[in-house]
Amino acid sequence: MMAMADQKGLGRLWPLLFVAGFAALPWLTDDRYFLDLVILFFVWSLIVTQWNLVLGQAGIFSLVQFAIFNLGGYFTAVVGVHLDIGPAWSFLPAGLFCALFGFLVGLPCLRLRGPYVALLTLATSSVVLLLISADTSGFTGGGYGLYGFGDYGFRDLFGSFGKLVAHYYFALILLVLACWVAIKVMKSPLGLAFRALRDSEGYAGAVGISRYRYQLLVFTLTSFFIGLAGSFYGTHLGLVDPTGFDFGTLMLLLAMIVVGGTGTRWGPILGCALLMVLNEFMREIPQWRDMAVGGTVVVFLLLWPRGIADGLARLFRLITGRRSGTTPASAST
Amino acid sequence: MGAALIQTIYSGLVLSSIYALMAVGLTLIFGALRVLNLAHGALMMMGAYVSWLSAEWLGLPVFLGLPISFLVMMLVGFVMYRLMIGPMIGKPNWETNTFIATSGLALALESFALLVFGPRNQPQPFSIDGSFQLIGVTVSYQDILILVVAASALILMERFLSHSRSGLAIRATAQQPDAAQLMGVRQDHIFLLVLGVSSGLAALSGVLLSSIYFIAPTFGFHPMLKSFIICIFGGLGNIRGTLYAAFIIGITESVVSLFLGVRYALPIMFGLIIIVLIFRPAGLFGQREVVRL
Repeated sequence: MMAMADQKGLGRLWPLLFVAGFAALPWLTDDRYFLDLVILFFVWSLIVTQWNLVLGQAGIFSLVQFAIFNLGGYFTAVVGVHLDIGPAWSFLPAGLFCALFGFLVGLPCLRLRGPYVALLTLATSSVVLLLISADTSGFTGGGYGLYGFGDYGFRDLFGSFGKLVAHYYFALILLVLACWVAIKVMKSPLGLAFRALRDSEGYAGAVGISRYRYQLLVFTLTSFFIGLAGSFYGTHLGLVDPTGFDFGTLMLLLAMIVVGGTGTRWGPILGCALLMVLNEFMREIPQWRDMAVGGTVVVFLLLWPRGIADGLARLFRLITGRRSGTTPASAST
Repeated sequence: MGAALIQTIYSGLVLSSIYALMAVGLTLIFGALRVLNLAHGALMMMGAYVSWLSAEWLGLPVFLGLPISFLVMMLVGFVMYRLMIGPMIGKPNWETNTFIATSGLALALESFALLVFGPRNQPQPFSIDGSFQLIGVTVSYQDILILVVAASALILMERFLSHSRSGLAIRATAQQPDAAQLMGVRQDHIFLLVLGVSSGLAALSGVLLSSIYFIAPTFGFHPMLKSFIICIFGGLGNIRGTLYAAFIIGITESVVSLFLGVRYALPIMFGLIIIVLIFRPAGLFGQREVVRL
């Protein structure tokens, strides 16, 4: 476990460098499309970081996270349209709502193991999608979705481009916060508990570590952040509709985690960047996108199941010849 | 209401027999390999298209569609095992990884079908027209065809599993992989066989199901989800339990659809499953696995 030793020197600095680089970006370019893309990158990075916590650290094979992301957006939209409460006020409640939803889903699902959890959470997602898209009362807008539920008011303050930049920083701050919490969780007694449970569930149980309780805690916590991200992204787009639940996008996000390295600290973000580049190439030929995503997942799982973070860490060790650094947690287990 | 109820239960019965075929295929794989095959729905879809292709493109007799699609998909299953699932088994996190990989494959296959065949729904050529009345219930010849095919496939399956050497080896592997291997069962061959048979069953259920509805690139997803619910209900890996569960769930679904509307069928089914799993985590007919520390 010495690979988990505290990062030193550069290792501690480079995330800050990245954040600084991204913070400077809006001053360097005024390409709206590009900034929009980076916002999407922030949002998806946030989801995969949190999802990775569930999947890789807590060992819960849950697929409901993607539906929770959409629910966050739907909460803000529904509250905005029907109760006339703007997204700025429903932002935190959306997170809390999603945390509650995650808790309620986790309550029965987490009593089960691996494949059962995956199936039940997949079924939950489908049910949520069905209930939303089959609604004809206008509550969720059915197949058309909801729009016109307002925004954070940045447009009035900073103008049209200023709103984009404001959203950009909003997303960046959200991502940094979520990553910080994710790393805190990994390093906290909670992270240790999960490692103990992974290493030997029997011994961990014998010293009083309850798998169920800890998993439920992480499940709820990550649901909160994913809900916030969903609320933000719905507001940013200005609409929510059932196409957000698209199975292809769910697989794209899973692919990010797998390609980056499940359970590693920065792998999912790396995978997110890589797959977004792939996704951009596919923009010209959208009919090939899902095939490429599916194929990438299969190929990576077959040839490189630990993802690129592990490969990079090994490369880094090879060059510098030292054992610490960005070694992912799972590489040594 | 009475006639409508009988009609509903009857059509639930027809649907259940297809679900049973699908779910048995799924549960067979899980029982022997401990793999959840999320590509099962995509294999179903491919099976339906193979039958369609053989009739529409090759101009073969319509009724050859079923055996042809069974054989073709069996081959696909073999290839899938050799290239994808086989190499992954036993590696770290393989249970999760095979799940993700098979869903990736499903996505790729479905979008491939969308590219080749387009989003338009195709009718399944493997069908007969006509119907007759029986105690107030409209029975179509197609339903009878479905029931006959499904029942004979299930009976053959039962004979195969409980009387043939390979079938016994499959069950032995499912019960005690290590002991089976010590008795000279080649695990690799068994896994290959299981994947082939299961994919063949997927093809059969795909052809049958599409003969009630239609063929479309993603039409396998929801039936697959229902089949998984059935498998969980009956206890994953437990074939007899799965059969009972298929009929319980299929008929319940039809009745719920009749009284509350189709869109509540899946949510209610799901609620039922949660309740079952809370009290019986290994399913209604499943036995709890004892995990040694």
